[in-house]
Amino acid sequence: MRSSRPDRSWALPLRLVTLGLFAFVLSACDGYPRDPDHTLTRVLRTERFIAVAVDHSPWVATAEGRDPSGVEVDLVETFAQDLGVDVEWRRAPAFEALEAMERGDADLVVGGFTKEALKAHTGSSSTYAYVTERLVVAAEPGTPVPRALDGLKVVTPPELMADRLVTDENGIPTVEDGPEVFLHAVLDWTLPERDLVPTGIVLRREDHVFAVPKGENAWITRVERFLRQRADDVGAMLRAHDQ
Amino acid sequence: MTERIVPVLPEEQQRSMQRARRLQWTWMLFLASIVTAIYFALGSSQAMKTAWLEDLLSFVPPIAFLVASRVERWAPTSRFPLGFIRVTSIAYLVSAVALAGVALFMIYDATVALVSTEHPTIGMVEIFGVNLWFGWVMIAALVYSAVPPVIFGRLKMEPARELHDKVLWADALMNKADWMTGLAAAAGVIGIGFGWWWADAVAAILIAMDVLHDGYKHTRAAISDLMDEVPRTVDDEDLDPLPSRVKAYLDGLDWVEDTKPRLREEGRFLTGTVFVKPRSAVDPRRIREAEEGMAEIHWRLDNISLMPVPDPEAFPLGRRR
Repeated sequence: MRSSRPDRSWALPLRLVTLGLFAFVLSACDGYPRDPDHTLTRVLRTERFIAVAVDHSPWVATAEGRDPSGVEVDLVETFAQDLGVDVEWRRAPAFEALEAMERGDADLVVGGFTKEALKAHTGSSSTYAYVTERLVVAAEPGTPVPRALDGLKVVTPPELMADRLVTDENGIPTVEDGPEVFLHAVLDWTLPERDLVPTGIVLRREDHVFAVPKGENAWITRVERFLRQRADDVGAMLRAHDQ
Repeated sequence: MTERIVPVLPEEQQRSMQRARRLQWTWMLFLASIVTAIYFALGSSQAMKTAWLEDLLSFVPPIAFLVASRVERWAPTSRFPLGFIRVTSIAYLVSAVALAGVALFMIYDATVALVSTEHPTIGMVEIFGVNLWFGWVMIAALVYSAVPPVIFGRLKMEPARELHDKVLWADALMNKADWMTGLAAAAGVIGIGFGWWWADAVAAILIAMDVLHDGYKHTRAAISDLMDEVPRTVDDEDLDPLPSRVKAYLDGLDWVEDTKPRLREEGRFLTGTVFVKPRSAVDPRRIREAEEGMAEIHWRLDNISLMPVPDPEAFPLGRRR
């Protein structure tokens, strides 16, 4: 670059900035971003999309001969209604489902996936974390609320598989509720209907997402926009399905 | 062995040096803000990652400059009797090689993304209650990253010339060209929005190629310096005029018949030997006077020795093969 002609060097950047602004205005209208493989336009044209349900109660429950149910199944159904299209459900184990979506044989996979878990499958992508599920320690009312678990017993239901998380916090996991046991390991969304006081101790955090095809940005932003509208209802939906 | 006296910069150059150091500190503050902004807008874009790495690399030349401009003033020791003046050349080489190395990595990374038809995913964000495509956030960060370097690049050129500082000059040129990186990456992101998944990786490769070109150019220049190439101007476009001025001055002395300067660059300074053919036997005091006279020509001339020889064209030392 020669500095003997300094005045010309602004011309090109200026032109490109103008061009960029033009592109911004142009694309701020509808139909941006677009999908490389045209998922959204196909869904709207054919008025249906294929969703795969991976069993993971209470998020998704599948059983032979029955329609899939669960919080995420309800969400997908409502999303389809909003779009004015139908859902064609398929049932499959997680990796088969994700691989089908990578091939283009499915448009959406739900199964109580966490963002972390989906990272293991590089051929698919995830939405934003529309709900964070916390496994917390809560105390029975009228008992002291501890700041740390140091040596305290915590009722830890075996199906949560959280014994190790309790011992990591120096607590003692137990199955039985006893006279000196007043702490419980519970999922945070169950708290409103249980007579327990949260202690502020969080054992595990899980960011829940839908699995979506990689790079189909118009489709993904549509799903995400829907999830942002409904994210606040998820706790109540989980409690309803847990009954 | 007597130790070299560290050359002192003239007042004007000292002011330029202060200004350059202040500029580099301020620039690094801006750079830190740019690197942070881009980091939080990275997403899964290859071009963004490349632009971010390049911005991160932009820390190397200013740090090299700040360190080198301190170290070169260290007093010579019995172990380093010639002082630490060459540290500038070494800093220059280090920054240039770092640049080229990272560029190669970036080209590899983007090529892999392109070959494996990696479709970059960019979703929605909610900012102050508004749903926005995250691509716009990325583009905003890139536009922000494109403006300050151009301004700082221009500001650094003057002190770089004044100080004959090749690190600072290379740094200024890199900064001045940095808007291209930002806009190329922004074009990549806009391309993703249009459904052209490959636009991102292509933009990344273009950016990396540009960085590689810089790295190659500067590595070559730095190696040439350390190989004692004939001194060149700071922009590397012309031969340095100082050796001819030295020759003209010495040729004008009444006891000198002919001269041949053999000078080299040590950092911002010029040093070396001038071979002189005297008209007759010469008093060593006159040689000393001439050496002092040379130092008056320009502040960059430092520690040049005069060597009386019978014939300056015939190099006097060393065995011929």
